[in-house]
Amino acid sequence: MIHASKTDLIRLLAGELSDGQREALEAHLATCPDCRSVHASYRQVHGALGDWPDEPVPDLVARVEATLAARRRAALLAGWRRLRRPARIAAAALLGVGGGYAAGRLSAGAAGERGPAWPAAGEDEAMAAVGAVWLAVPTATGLPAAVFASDEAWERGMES
Amino acid sequence: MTDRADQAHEPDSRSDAELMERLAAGEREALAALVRRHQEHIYRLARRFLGSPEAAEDVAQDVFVRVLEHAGRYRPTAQFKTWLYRIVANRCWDLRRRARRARLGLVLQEPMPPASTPDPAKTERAERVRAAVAALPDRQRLALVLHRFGGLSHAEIASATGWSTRAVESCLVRAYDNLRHALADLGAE
Repeated sequence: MIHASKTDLIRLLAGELSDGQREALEAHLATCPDCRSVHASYRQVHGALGDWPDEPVPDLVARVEATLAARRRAALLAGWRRLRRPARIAAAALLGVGGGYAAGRLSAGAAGERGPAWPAAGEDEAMAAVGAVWLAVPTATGLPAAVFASDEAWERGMES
Repeated sequence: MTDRADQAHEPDSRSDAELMERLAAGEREALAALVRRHQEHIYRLARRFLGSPEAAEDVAQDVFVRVLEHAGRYRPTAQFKTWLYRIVANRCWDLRRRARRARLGLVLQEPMPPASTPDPAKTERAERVRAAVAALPDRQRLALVLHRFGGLSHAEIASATGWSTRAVESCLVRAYDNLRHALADLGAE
């Protein structure tokens, strides 16, 4: 007697057989005690697996977003580190303009003048502590810009 | 990420293919929609294969990050579920392979969480099943989890894992044979 394949018995339990295949297999099981025994034990396993309950699922949206944000920050920092020094100075100046833009827009004086947005004396000491100095003259927009003495100083400044 | 579906309090009717197209075009909100739609079964598949809830969360998160990274390469001709499960299977397999190489003890015998309606008999039965599956060799366990809990066909499992269909069939048969011996005294529920 040709016995049923175990693969087909598993597919029968999963409902993967066509109507014709299922009918043929069920007809065979009706006449073959050996295959019937294997099928019964597989059915028991299939049912027991269904007794393994689903567990609560954490909300992954926030975690995925946090991971992507961290990777973006890391990529920005890596890109900054690859810049040559003159480009960093230029970028720092631009960022100094950008960073002070919101305050400068409200309070900056005419180009060339130190307006209310210019760093106060205390801020000069704070900048010196991280290895940076404000440019002696403002940029063309009247807003301050800083030069950082090293990569490490820039990173300390970003972290502060 | 904003979630249009949450704001509207309605199920997101956009297809996976449409969401992937929007994601490839830079609409990050589409990623939130994909996460909310698929996070349950991805997490549960990883949880059942790896055992550890922390590892499962790592894999699930990594899967969605890769979905974003590969969004531009996804072609609607490929069924999204198959494509997604390929990423899931690869990440699960990578994690197990690294753990074996590093001889890390990825916990595959996590204790069952407290049952919501305490039934000691049911809890014990579920724990026996979980332990029996955890004791399977990795390939058998992965094939079984994808088939029984992921609903993938033999051909889909072959596509997700890169194994031949014959290898998938062999893994499933051996998994069922191992489990019927391990759970022989369990009886029907």
